Parts: sequence; structure tokens; C-alpha cells
Amino acid sequence: MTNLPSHTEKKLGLLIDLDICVGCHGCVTSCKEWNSTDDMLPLSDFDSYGDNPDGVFLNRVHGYEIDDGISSQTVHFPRSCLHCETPECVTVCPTGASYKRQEDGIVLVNPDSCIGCKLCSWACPYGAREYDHKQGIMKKCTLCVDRIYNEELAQEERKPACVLACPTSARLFGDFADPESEVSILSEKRGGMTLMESLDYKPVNRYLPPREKQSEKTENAINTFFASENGYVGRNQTQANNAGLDSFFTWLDDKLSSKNI
Amino acid sequence: MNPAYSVILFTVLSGAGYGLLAILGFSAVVGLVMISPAINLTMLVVALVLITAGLVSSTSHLGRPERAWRALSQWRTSWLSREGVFAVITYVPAVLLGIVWITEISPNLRLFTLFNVSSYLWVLGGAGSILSIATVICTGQIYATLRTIPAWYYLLTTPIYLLLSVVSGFVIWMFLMSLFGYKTEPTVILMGVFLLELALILKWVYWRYVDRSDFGVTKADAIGFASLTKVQNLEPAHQTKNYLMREMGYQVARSHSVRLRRFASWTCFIIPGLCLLLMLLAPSYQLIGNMTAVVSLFVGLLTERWLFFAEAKHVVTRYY
Repeated sequence: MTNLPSHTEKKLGLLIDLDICVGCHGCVTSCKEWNSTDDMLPLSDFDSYGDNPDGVFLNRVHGYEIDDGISSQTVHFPRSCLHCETPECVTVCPTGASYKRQEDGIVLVNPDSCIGCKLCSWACPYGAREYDHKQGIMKKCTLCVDRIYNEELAQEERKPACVLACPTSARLFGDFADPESEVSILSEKRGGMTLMESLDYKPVNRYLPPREKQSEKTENAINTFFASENGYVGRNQTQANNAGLDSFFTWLDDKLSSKNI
Repeated sequence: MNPAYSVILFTVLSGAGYGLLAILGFSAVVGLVMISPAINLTMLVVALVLITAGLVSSTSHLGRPERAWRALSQWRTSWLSREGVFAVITYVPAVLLGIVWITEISPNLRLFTLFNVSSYLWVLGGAGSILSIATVICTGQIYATLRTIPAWYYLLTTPIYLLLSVVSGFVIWMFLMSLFGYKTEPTVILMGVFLLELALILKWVYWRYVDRSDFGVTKADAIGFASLTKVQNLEPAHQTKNYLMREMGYQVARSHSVRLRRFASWTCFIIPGLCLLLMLLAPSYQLIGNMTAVVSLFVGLLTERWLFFAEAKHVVTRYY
């Protein structure tokens, strides 16, 4: 049924910390691995080892350079389904294959009734849905619904594969409807961000912004300190300014790097 | 957006078919040009062939065409489902109209013996007309309600779909009339010219809108940062194109689109309009003039529809 539930008992989702994500793509591969080998239909691949590899992924990590006018920094940005509260990917579905669960808010596709019209992927602003050419149906993040309630797994393993795989614990899984949950508290404390809020899809997943970096003042102080300690003012002028042991190493470094050894 | 040929063919062919059926139904209601049941039947068959060819073409866009029937279930929320429902229901009055006309041609067949359906002709015609228009409106609404694609999320998207459907049906209707040797009334011809040029104006307004349309969200909004933060691509998420980039990231060069818009304006609206005027001035050239109008119109419609998809940008491209 493509009518959205007026209320979901839980709002399960992910809290992704952009401050500590290192862009290792571990979540991407573990997602692909879990969703290709368990009960679910595999995420198809084409030409895997050829010149033009292609395949279905439910999670991707983009790398951006962010400049807010004061400083610039690298941000690794994992992108997957945000399990929106008002997902238009569900309401546009002509078959009822797409649905949002009342009990936990997870947005799913029923692979047995999807006709592969791709309209849901057109309706999603976040690129969360991909078409599987081999099976002729749409695929999307299930929040590892086959893990999180799986009683055959140990309690600590009942989390989405991407969350378990993250080596820096940049991904947290929890219930955003519960104000006492870890994700709610952290999101509240660190200003969890919503993507494209103005479109009003009401995404459940939140992103924690990078923590404020050292101020310009501190950075300047550090630069001055190192400049006075090492006489370091830039590679081109090193020979003229250095003295003692430092200049010996600089000389050695220059000699070694100018020769092709 | 990727201009899928199956969908382009569907919207153009079925659009024309529903337009023709709407006009045929309308003429049955007002009893205006009920020339002969044989001609009416021929027109009905042409309309149904166009509609069916388009619908069949649209199912080839599906990953699982054998499950297409499931698309009739979610009419409460989905315009695509509503389109499917109306498309199927439209066949009912259309086929009944056909049976009435077959009975009129050969009364011995006695397809309706219980009651005289012929006296309900206006009901069938009206139903066929309204359902055809409803189907086309649903088609337009599928696109006009997608907030992710500003070029389609626009007041004129559905009216243009409807107008182009009616116009193409109208030109075919006039052509079939000419084919059967009937002289088209000058007022009818002028009506055709008016509709064609009205469509041209609306299309130009639409193109001007497309040129100015904007996502309303920046790259920074897409990743949750303050709108004015400068965000540049650093490391791609994947090295080869994926489904999103092929389906949603289709791009057409600005110079190409200007040329194609000009081509579509001429072939879809101006040349057919001139052909109709030629019919008015030189009635002896009616058939050839009308035929040229039909051919040019369809070339134009296919170009216009290709542009409708190719020029539409999807907000997911903000991530790439």
C-alpha cells in the first residue's frame, strides 16, 4: 500500500558523523556484501573485471572539498536511503511494491511486485534507489532489516552491515523517535543536519557536521612556533636560512631528491 | 533525464490516439459530423491502434512487463497507477462505440438485441471523450508532480500534454476526413490552426521557464551544510557511470537544444499550421496538405518529447 502511515512507532535510521568519516568505503563494500549474499536477491554486477564495471550499490561515499569562507576542509560523505517520513518514492509507486513500515518507519521494496518502472528513482532527490538491470526491479537500502531483527545473530550484531563495518564508528544506528536514544542525544548535542530540508521529504537519517577546527589564531601561533624552531619558511628558501644540523638534513634531502636513485 | 524511446513513443502515439478518441467521442455527443458509421469505425480503429501501440511501447520501459497489471492497484496515491486505470477503462466505451457502429453497418449481426444501444451513443461518446482526457491528464501529472525535477514541476506541464494530445488527434481527425473525401469546414480548419499556434506559444513559455528554472537547493544543501558553503567535488564515489548518472544525469548541449527547439517549433507547430492554411486557400490540395501536416506534426512531437526529457535536470545531480 503506497498510502503512508500517519505515524510510525519507531523512526529507525542512521546518524553519520562527517567529522570522523575517513572515506574508506568500508560501509559501501560491507553493504554490497551483505545484501548480495543473504536472503535478499543479490545486487547485480556487470563487467566486474572489465573496462566498464557497473553494478547496483545501496550506499556510496562521495568526497567533497568544503569552503565556508574561513577555512576549507575535506568531507567524506556517505549517501544512502534516508528513510524519509514522507517519501515520495513510495507514493508514486503504481504497484504498492514500495512501502513504509508503520512499526519502524523503514522504507522497503517488495521484489515480488516491483515492475521496474523506475518512477520511484525519479521521485527520490537523494539517489537512494537504483535499478537492477538483471532482475528488472528497483533496489534500495533496507536498513538491513534482515539483520536488525535476526534472532540468529548475537545481540551486538543486530545492526546494519555498514554500521558494523565502519572502522571509525562514524555510523550509528538507532531510533530517532526515542529522545533518549544514543542517536537522538548525539544529534541534538552536535546539531545533526538534514539533507535538502526545503524539499520537505522529512528524512530520518541525520549527519553530524565536522567539529569546529582550530581557530585561525591558534593555527597562526603554531606556524610561528615552527618557523622560529626550524627556520622553516618554505622549501625554496631552505638553503639560505637554515643552520647547523637542520641545514645538513636539508642539504641531504635536496641531494637525495634531485638524484634519480 | 534519460530520453527513453519507449516512453517518448508512448506519450506521442497514445497521446494522439486519446486526442482522436476524445474528438470522435465529442462529435458523437453533439451529433455534429456523424457522417457514416463506416468512417466513424475507421477513425475509432485508428485511435485504438495508436493508443494500444503506445501502451505496448510503454511496457517495454518496464523491467518486469509481465507484472504490468499490478500498476492498476495504487490509484489512491500514484498518478502512474491512475493513468493505467483510466487507460484500461477507456477501452470500455471505445469498444462499445465500435460495436454500435458495426451494428449500424451490418444490422444482421444483432450484437445488441436486448436494448437499442444506438440511442445511448452520446453517453458512450461522452464517456470515451472524458476518459481519454482523464488519461492524458494523468500522464501529465506523473511528470508535473515530481518535485525533484523543476523543469516538470510546473503549472503548464499538464496543460501542454493535454493540448498536444488534442491537437495531434485533431489533425489526424481532419486528415481522415479528407481521406474519405469530405471537405473540411473553414471554421474547423481555423480551429486547428488556433490550437496549433496556442500550443506553440505555451511551449515557448515552457522553454523560457526551463531556462530559468533552478533546483532551489545548492550542492551544500544536498549534503546538509549551510546553503552558501562552497562545495567542490574532490573524490568521485565511483569511477564509471552508475544508474543514477545514466538515468538522471543525461545532459544535452545548450547549442543542440536551441537548434532542436527551433526544429520542433517549425515541424510541430508552424509547418502544420501553414499546411492547414494552405488547405483553406486551396481546397484542391486538401489531402496532400493535411498529410504533410500529420507527418510534420509527428516528427515535431517526437522532437518536442525528446527535449522534454533530455532538458529536464534531476536534483540528484547535485551530488555529482
